[in-house]
Amino acid sequence: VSSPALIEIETERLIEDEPSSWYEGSAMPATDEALVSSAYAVKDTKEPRRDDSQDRAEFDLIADELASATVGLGSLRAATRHPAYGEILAMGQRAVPFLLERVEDPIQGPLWMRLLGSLIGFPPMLRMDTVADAAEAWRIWGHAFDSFVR
Amino acid sequence: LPAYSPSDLYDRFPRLAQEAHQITSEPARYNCVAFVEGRTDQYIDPEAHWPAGVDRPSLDEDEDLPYYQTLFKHFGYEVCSDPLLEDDYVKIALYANDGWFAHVAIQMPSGRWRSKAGYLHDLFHDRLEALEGCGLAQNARPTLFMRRSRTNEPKDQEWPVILLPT
Repeated sequence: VSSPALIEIETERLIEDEPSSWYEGSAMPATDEALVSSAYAVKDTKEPRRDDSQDRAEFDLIADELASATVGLGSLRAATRHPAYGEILAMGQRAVPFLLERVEDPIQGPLWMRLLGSLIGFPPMLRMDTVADAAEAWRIWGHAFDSFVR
Repeated sequence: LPAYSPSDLYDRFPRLAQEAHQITSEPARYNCVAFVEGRTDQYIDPEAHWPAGVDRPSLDEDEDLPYYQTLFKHFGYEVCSDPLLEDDYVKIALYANDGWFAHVAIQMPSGRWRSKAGYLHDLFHDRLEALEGCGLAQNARPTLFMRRSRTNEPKDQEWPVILLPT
């Protein structure tokens, strides 16, 4: 378990290093098949599966704090400055399955998509025009990731 | 997932309870920018969906308000000097804090304003001051005003209106 100081340093580093390459779309697969393949590729790099109940409890605590603190904001940029946002980034791959469960959140879906985009390196809305279509695309990606249905 | 009620709205927008207003929707996953454009299926934001051909601020910018000005110019708006009602124009008010965009409200033909408050409710509010200090941006104020000729209004523009007791 990381010490609080280490978590703080790691969080700062991740925020500082947060990829912005998705702006240019260089990391975004061009076809549905490539999108699914990319999910398998990410899955292959996962750490060995373990009892994730502790991860889930940690994630839910941080995510609910972030949701509550940013629900009144009209800009995702402001949400990225909240400490809880950086703490979820610091969870890295461990947060991905839990974020995938939240992309269809009928109220704050775009917030979870933004975090997923940062962790995976894709545009948060997967180049979809509507939030509903983006949620569906993430759901498909999640099935390929084999972590969506638990 | 957390659920939100009007009390959450008043908690995040503390001036609202003392101002004339009417809540018109439940919380939903579109934002104020999409709402102003009559889209309740989008979240228009540099970090989410941003129209092609409009400059997008990078994460290391010092401010993003100029990019929102460009965005609304793309939507047909021009900068104007004040929020006063003009018969031939639809006006919007962009709230910002130190050059950072925080919110946008749109003026109705009656002169009052409509807003989508973050992920929370849509509402009518008589005065722009009702949403000052919005969300985490406690010092956000109406900073930039823009207008668009009513003759240029999209024909399919509509907003959900579900009037709730206040």
